Amino acid sequence: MKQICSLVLCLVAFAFAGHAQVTFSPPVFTAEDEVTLTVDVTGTPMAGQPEAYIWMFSNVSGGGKDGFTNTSWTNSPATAKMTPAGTNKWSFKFTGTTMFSQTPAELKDFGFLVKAKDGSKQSPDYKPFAFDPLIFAPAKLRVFPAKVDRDDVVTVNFDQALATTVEEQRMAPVSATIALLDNTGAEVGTPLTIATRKIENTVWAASFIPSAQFTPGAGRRLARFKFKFNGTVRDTNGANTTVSSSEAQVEFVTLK
Amino acid sequence: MKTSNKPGFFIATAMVLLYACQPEQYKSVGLPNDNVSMLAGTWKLNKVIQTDEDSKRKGFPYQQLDLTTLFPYRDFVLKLDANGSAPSTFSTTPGNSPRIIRLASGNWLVDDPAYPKVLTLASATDTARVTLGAYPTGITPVLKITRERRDSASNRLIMSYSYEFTKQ
Repeated sequence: MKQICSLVLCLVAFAFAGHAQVTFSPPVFTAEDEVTLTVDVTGTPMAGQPEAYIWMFSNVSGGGKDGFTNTSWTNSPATAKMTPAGTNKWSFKFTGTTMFSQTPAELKDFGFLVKAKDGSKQSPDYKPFAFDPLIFAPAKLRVFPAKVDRDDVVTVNFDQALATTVEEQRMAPVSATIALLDNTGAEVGTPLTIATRKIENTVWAASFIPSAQFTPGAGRRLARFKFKFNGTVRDTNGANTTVSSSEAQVEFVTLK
Repeated sequence: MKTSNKPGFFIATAMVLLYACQPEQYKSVGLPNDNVSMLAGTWKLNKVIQTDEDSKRKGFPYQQLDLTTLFPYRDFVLKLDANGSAPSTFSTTPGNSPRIIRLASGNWLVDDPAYPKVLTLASATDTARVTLGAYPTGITPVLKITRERRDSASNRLIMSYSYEFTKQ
């Protein structure tokens, strides 16, 4: 399931607990892009430490490798040393393919922790963070364009040929439900339900413009959206019953 | 007795040559196109294409989507005024269309008056820049502009919108 949805989920940096302390520049990156991560270790055993070293690993769900900087837990090398980025904040610049000696096709995601040079203290694991794919992965729930900002026309797509449950496979899609979340994680307004259009034999789509249809509260901004497709199936009595697909979440990028 | 036709021959030849020396009836090709003047006018949005430039760069499927009928884009009207060959004011009338240009009115200018590439629309508080895709001509009065959307951190081109207007 996660593999099928990886194209969409790669945009979601906040779908897992603990990600709020980690930011990336640029926010979306492939395994071949140089990226700078910044982590806030406040509240972890690494808080207040004078220096920090990174310990990285790829493909959290399997098939991963250690970063080349993971030479010795009790004596991290200088190449693993992180750069101060504020109180309890540390940055580290790396390129996925170089760090893990894996091809873009092999690299799905990565995780890391922050440690003392001698390994006497460490933060929790921060994981997983997805690489933007360089190889197209068909997905049941897909967004067009793959990266969108709040003012763009966003088209969500449901490919029934890739459905993974009987209800998704049987349903006749009629609408999509869109829910917007602001930067605090609060839902903005009420979810929008829009009619779908059939664009291919097994593909349905629905389009919306986030900023035109959702207004965040004062001082807040639209941060991400969730979507699912709804349809009907016939129950054992031949009556129509409403069912929904699974849900996907997409993070907005900032475009200019 | 044989009579000479020489005078008549000369007269006829002279007439032919004189006639041949008349100016050709072809019209002058005129001056090069005044592209700024051609941009002036009232333009109605006719077609909108959204391109996923990132997918296009990677060779992924799903690179373009025609948005024209998904929203009432054809309501959108752009009016560009000119003083002779000099750009002057503009106004937009969105109707029910999404605001493809957020500015309601202001002044417009071009980067190169002879061969403009970038059209800048400026109000008192904001500016919008679009790239010209093709110059309108008398034969094809179509204005094509492109709006690029770039990643704010890396400046990488992520997406673009192509707008095609027809002259009213």
